[in-house]
Amino acid sequence: MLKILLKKQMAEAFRGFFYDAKKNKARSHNATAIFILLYAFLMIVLVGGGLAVLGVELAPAMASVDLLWFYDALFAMIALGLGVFGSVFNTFAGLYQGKDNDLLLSLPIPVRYILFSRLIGVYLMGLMFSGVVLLPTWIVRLIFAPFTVAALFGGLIQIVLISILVFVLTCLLGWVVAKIASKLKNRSILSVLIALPLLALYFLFYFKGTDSLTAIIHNPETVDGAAIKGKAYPLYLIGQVGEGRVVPCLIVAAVILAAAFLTFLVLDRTFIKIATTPASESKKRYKETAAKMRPLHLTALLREVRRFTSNAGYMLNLGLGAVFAPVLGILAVVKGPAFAARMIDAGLPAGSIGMGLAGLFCIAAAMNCIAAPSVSLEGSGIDLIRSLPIPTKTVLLAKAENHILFTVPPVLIGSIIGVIGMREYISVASAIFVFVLPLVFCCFTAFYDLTLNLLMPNIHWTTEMTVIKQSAVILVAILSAPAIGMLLTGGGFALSLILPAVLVGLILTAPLILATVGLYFAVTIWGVRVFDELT
Amino acid sequence: METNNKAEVLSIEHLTKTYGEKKAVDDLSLSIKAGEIYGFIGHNGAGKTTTLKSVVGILVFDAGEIAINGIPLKKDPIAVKREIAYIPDNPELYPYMTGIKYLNFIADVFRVPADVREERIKKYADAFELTADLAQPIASYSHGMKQKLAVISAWIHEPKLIIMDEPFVGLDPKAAHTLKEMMRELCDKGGAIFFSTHVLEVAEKLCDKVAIIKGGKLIRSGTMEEVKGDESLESVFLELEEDA
Repeated sequence: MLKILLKKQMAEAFRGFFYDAKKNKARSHNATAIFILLYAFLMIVLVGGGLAVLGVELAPAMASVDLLWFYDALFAMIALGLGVFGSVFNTFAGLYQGKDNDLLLSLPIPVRYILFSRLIGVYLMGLMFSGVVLLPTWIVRLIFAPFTVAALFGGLIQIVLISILVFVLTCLLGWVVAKIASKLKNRSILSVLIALPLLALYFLFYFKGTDSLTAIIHNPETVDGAAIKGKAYPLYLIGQVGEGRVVPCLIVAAVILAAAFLTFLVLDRTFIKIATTPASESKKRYKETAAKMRPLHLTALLREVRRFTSNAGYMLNLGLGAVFAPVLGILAVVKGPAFAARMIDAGLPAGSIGMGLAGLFCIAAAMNCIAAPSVSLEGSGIDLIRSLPIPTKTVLLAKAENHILFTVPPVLIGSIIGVIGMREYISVASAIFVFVLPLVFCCFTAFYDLTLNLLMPNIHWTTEMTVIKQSAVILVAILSAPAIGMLLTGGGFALSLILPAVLVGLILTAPLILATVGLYFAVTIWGVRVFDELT
Repeated sequence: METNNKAEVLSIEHLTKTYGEKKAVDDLSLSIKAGEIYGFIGHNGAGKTTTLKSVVGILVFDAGEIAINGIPLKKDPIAVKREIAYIPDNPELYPYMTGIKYLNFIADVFRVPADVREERIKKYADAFELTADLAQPIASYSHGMKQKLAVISAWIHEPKLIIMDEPFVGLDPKAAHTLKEMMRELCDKGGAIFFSTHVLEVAEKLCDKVAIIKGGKLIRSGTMEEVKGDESLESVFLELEEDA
């Protein structure tokens, strides 16, 4: 029975690798292998690659002061942070909000098996996030620090133990989120408000951490191993696991496995109640209010807005650009002038500052991937919209408009703040492009993400989070759109060293406009056909 | 009911729809006139839902013509959809909307003026005793409540033709009775109903005409008297199922 459930769970989680939703048939073995390799490559190289590069410098530095355990502990903590942060909201949805809750609970399957099969999915997600940090940095450590057999096995044991610790923490946090969510009204908005400070902490830790790591690489002797051992002994023990020391391995394994067992007991006792209790929405009695007739495109747009704002996971995973853009504007005010002054002192032309800032806002805008799952999210309800007298073109454009609606205003606010803060270093001409380039880029990403989803649609899902977090289209959008933004930033900055800012702005904006127009026509002609024929 | 001189609301000619090698609907032709309640019966997988989905423009069919009020579906699907309403067998309504927001969404799509929609929402929501729950999210609705909401949304623009797939499933006896009255009222006003059902007693009592489909082919159609004669619809259906 458990095997059947696990098979179903795995098929659901990795469906995209084995099944071509567009052609409605299984992929060939070769295509599946290519997909898996590509996915692994993207995750390990692009996510873990940066940390591995850091590890190349850090491993010999730590070896030189005999603190390799600190190297192991440090990356274990980064893996823990990334694993927990990456999985927590998915855990809530994946454990408790499955569309097949009623079906599975009605079948003669022990509830514990249902829970266990879903926990395997949670574990694998945590393993993936923590593994992309630990695996490359472990390999780097073996190559760039003195090799020991103990470290070879210690690293592997650490990967397993940290992934279980990630699992324990995400399960507990997911359980807390479920408990809170069951008592809240307007849960989606509140979840976002709760998550944002956590996110701010995460990024603060990340940026501060990067600075600290750089300092450690340059001055490894400043790390006071004895003090860390005294003040944060568990951290020391985790580091010792990476070293392959037997006793710390046994202690850490015993603690983590005991925590995992207790977590399973807690979840097991509460699972059915949480999964089957409807949210405690206070019953609101309908009072008649004056109705008003809206234009068709606004009706379609409001449908998208409601879908987006009703799902905390959707907002948190794919709408963060709306938060980052104004934060970037504030950072430009706080840190920008000093940075710009240094650049001017270094002999860089003033125009390059404006173009660099414009590019940074493009990257912030690219963090919004709201349109990327919008077609897939129609799910089995796609027949409803297709049965109505609303042109498919209007439906698709509403998806792009929704993306633009939640991206353009924050980017514009961020740009205004940034330009005001750095007005002494930005010419009027380049200031115009600080507004124009990101705004055009917002429109481009709206149609780009939508096109990606039309290329890789999946309307057969069990939970919305599968589409929002685990689909191929999200991975491609999340990686490629910021990459395009970075290309614009780097290109704009490089060109502005040799060309006037206005010319650079035009060189970057014109092809972006052309690309956006091209994607508009692709969506409204080819995309309409794809949407109409989705099965 | 005498409907011979009435205008044709739905015309299906030689409809064929295949899924891969399998013909789900095979050369099916039928027509429905204004004022008719037309029942569509057949066993599971006979091709009923495929036919209904083709009529409402959800499925792209391989051959044949479908026209509603003389407008060919392939030529102007939007104009056709304005004339109809569709209730699927398991309505997938948007769980993130409240009942009233969903009704307003549908009314906006069909361009129903504010005062008209207010009146109709009140009329039908009261009839189904759903008014108090309209401010609740659809996610909290039972299957029956969703079905009632789907029915109200179908009636909100008073379409010429309503297509329903198993509309009575999930409705309590009172709501089922209300729906039957609404169906008759719409047909009396010149509209038409095309619906599938497995409940042959309902079809026998309610329908003016009936069509029986098996393996994608229409095996009998006509007025209730023409199809069943002196026998019960159930016995005729079972005989045809065995013979065909």
